[in-house]
Amino acid sequence: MKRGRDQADYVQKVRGDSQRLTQSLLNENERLRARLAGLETDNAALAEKARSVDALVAANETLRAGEATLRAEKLRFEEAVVQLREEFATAGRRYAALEQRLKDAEEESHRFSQDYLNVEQQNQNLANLYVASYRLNGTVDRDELMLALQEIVANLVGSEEMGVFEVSENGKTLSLAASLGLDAERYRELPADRGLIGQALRSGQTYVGGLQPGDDRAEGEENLTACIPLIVEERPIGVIAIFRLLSHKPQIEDIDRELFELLAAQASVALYCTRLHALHRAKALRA
Amino acid sequence: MAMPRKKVLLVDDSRTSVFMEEMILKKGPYDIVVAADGQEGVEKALAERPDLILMDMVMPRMTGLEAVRELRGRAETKDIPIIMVTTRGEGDNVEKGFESGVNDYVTKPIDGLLLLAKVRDYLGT
Repeated sequence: MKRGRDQADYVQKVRGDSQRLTQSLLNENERLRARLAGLETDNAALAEKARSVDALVAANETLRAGEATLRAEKLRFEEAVVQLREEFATAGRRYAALEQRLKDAEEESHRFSQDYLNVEQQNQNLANLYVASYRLNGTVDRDELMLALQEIVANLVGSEEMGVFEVSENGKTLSLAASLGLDAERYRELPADRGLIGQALRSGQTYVGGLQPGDDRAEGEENLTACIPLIVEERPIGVIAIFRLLSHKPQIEDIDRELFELLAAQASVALYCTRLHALHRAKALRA
Repeated sequence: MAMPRKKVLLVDDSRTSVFMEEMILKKGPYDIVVAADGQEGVEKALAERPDLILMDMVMPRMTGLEAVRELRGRAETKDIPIIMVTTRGEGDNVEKGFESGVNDYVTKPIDGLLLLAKVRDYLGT
């Protein structure tokens, strides 16, 4: 009986041991499963990391290749920069040369313009002289000549104060034959032997210029600008006296002096011709 | 190509002034018509329809200012450019000219280059 009990205990013990062992195995199995799961997780993470590393390696390769390309590009750019600098320097020299040519051309153009203006000015001066000459020689009528003289002085010289004086029979006075813008009564008769007008008549020289203190001026000569003697065969027959210039004409110019010379030469002859013509007509009428 | 010719009317009682203006304008493609006073100027402007008028101010029968007012009052001539030619370059006189309807002015003695430049400017020649 005792042996049976022992056997039962033994069986019981073995069964207990088996159960414990089984339980231990189960636990171990469970632990191993958990470990396996952890390892799988770690494995997946490592695989993921490995993929990242591969990507990094690939990116690194790409960057290396890119770097090589950039280095090559940099070299090309540096060469291009050197070339461009040379071209820039060449272009700079060409620009400077062109600038100089432009400056030369502008100076030449300016010279041409100035020459053109000078020629045009001379043309106008000639036109003035031509017009004056044409008007003086275009008539033998005394009134028409006087009108022409007034117009020449007004339109070509630029004065609306002028008088044409003729030497009287006795040669002692100057009589106003025609005037523009003057007080005719005041200037009706001037002494032929004194004053600036008389002096111009006696000397045969055109007077031009502003009056100076101490000048031998007669009454009414305060505003005299010019006085042109009219002489035929060395005999003075009269003067053209020009008083104030127009307000926008500041002074006598070279062309005015040329006009005065023309008036001195041609107006005297024209005036003389009108006298002869008048005499001729009078004779013809008497006949 | 030949430049189209333009017609310029000169209104001035001074033959010297007209002669001078003609000599200056001969340098351009201009046909010149002349009138000896303001009245004749108005008549010739209506008959000839010039492209430009040079108008003297002091003239018998009708002054330049009167002629300008007359021309500005007529539909046929109101747009014709008028350059006043005057011996009086003072502000007041010029102002009266502009009030009457002139477009521009030149003073006597005429500066040929200036006159030609102004005429060219108005006529586009």
